[in-house]
Amino acid sequence: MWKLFVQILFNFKEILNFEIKYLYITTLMLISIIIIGCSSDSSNASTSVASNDVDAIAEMRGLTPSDIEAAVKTYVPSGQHDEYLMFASGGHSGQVMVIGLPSMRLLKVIGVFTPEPWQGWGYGAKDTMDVISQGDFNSTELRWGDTHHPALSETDGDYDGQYLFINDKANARVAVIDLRDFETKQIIKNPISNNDHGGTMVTPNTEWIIEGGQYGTPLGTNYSSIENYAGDYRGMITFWKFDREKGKIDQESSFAMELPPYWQDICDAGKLASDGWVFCNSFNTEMSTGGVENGAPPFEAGASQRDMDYLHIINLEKAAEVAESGRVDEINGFKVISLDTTIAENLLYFAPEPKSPHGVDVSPTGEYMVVSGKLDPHVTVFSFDKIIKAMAEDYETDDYGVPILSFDDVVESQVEVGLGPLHTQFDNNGYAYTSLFLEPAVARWSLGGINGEKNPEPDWSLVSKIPVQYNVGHIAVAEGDTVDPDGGYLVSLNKWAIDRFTSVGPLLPQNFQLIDISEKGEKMQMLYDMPITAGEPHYAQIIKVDKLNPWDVYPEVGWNPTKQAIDENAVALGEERIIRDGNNVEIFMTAVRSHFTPERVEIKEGDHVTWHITNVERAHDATHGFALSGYNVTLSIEPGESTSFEFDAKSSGVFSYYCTEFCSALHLEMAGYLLVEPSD
Amino acid sequence: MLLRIKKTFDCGSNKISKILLGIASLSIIVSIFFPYWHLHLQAPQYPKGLDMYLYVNKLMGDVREIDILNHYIGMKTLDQGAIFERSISLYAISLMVFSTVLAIFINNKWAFLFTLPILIYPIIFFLDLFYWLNLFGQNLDPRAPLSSSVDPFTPPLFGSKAIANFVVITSAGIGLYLVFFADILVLASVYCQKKFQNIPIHK
Repeated sequence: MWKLFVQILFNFKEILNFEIKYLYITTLMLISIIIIGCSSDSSNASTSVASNDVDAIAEMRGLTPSDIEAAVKTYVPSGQHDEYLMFASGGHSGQVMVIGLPSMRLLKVIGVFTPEPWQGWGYGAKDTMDVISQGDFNSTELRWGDTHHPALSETDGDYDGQYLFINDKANARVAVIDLRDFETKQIIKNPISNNDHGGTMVTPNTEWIIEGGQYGTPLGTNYSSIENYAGDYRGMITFWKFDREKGKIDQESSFAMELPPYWQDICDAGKLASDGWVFCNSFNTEMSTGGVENGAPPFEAGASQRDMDYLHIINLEKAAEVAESGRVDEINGFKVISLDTTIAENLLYFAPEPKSPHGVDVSPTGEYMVVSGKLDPHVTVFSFDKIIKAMAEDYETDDYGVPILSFDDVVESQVEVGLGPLHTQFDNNGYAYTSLFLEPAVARWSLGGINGEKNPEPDWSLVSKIPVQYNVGHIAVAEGDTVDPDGGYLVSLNKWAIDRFTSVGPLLPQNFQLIDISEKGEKMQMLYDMPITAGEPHYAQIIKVDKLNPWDVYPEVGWNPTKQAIDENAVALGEERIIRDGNNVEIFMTAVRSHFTPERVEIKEGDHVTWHITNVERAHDATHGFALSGYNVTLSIEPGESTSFEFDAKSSGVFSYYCTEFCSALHLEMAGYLLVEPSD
Repeated sequence: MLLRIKKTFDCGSNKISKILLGIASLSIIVSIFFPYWHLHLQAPQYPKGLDMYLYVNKLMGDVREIDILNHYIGMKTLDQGAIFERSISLYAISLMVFSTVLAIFINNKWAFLFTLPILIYPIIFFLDLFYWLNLFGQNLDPRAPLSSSVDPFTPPLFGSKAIANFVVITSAGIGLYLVFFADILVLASVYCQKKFQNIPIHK
């Protein structure tokens, strides 16, 4: 073989009738030119050209080196994925937003309390209508919500990526979202209250979902004159029992506690050192009842008279035992531990806290509770250890008999952070971050205890501040309310945008600002402004992407996402049919690229139609929509999903139905006719 | 050339020939648990590609998705192919293995005849596969949505071919390699037997 090759090589000149050495020389020269060309091309030339280009672009666009750094830190190239997902409340849009970090790309808006047509959420699909109407009140269809505080399910105090819960402040409701398919599975209406704010938070193993109330009312949504405020109006906190197996709240095993009619605000569950306890702050311990129109001080003044409000310290573990033992009253069929029982069983203690606080946030070790009184420039840090010790001391009580621990006995430290402190999160370097609504800024300060050793700064001291634009409410640090915060990123959830974006008229988006907090010390860097165009978000939680394990497609064809099981009316390929029983017509349809079967549905005026559709696809992203003209029906049928809807054929006529997702090149052809024949 | 192989491959005794046949039989049995043929489809919309694995008695992989795509060009669904062959495959292979095992216990020159089924097995497999590929590819439903833009074609037995926005890549699977391996052992065994019985080999 080799000989043959060598022979050919050396006889080349005869073959080509060519001076062989010239051929070799020419070849060598060509090769060296190529090598030189390639090497210079791949090293010096390309980088210098690239950096020249970047400089030119930056100059042209007026970008500073710090802007470029921020861009490089946030840019996620085409086709690559984000490191974190942020679940943000959608405020009064009633939805939940899913946002990727650090790109700040909006990935999904999950329909929760408000119908959402893209996901077919509440537009015909029977199960979605059922879930939404679970939250109806007084036979009024509630079709929006004010989502405030999302809570990811936890195992051992760390996010486990299985479920997300969120409250509706406007109507005192809680929703359960399954993170396998990012869909809402349950909405539960609080039977004793019509507003909430201290929700949702979860206990470290998601045994309980916390829903604290806000504006005191007679429990059970009953009437009483406001003159009887102190006597008849009450606050409340509800503990919803979560059944992780079923993925649902178990109302039977849940209970509430009657609280004095102070306006309870935000709560947080204890963890590690303080596991089994729950902390809520409150305002309006003055029990102001408003009435500015009658010359009384308005709430804003009346509820800010006293210097101190009360941090509520609740022994949840013991309360659950009391509820279990049956020492409860029933209000609207719901278990409620009365205030008398609460006091008799020592389930509730108060600690004075600087007035009108917003957040109470438990530190990663569970040892400290951080409270920010909005009108006091300090954050006040309570020690759980000291709280427990103080319970054994003598104490005063409030008018209702609730023990009030001595402020000096339970406070660990007060850190002056700035004006209008609101909400606190934690990172992996032993820092806490507190939003400052009035400045507006985010303050970084150092914790004490074990966490304080992670940074060089003295314990309980302000480290630095970064201005934010504008009027920050909550903040969210990556996994910043767990036992094991990741740090790295902080998002400032700003209420006002003012001049941050191109004007779109008098109603402005809110502004989410991404801040790099990865470096210890003073440096924090503003990276990105993201406009939020749906309602006013309140809280958000940020979870590492690898903790989530969502489905690509539903596990089996014929899947009912609400039941998380095969649907009893699932339609298999080849088993499509139309069945008539008197005036009831039942349609069993399949959807696959690029046709519905059947494509003609012939019924009579006055028929009651039940229509089942199964998307028999298994391909990733092969979702089919279904829109029926004239009946307010739009469905989203994801691969494997089976769904049903019902309607009465009110008038005769010819109606089209078609696929609303551009599923294939022949998507337009994916259509059919509903022919409604006149009834004689 | 032949001499050298003869030297290196000194059969020694008839036992070796029998052991080789035994391993060959085993290899064929094991092969039914592995795919014989693999069809891989590439297109931008499928970042991971689509895969169909052909076993002697079943089709595995993204069969449904490939069927959905095929319906646009009017190809029959994959489960309509080689129904008979798949239904008898396990019996036929059992017989084939049985026949090979018989050859182990036959101590005359006719033993070689009983190994013939296993030797012609891959040839039958290829012919049958080609028959079905050709039948499927050449008989596209003229009423299919894309019948006007895709001409009838025969997918390659082994190799690749571009069809519309897809590239089809086909290759042998582990099952088929096991069959090849078995056949090499059978040939070696036949050779040994001839040598042991001192019968000259004719090509």
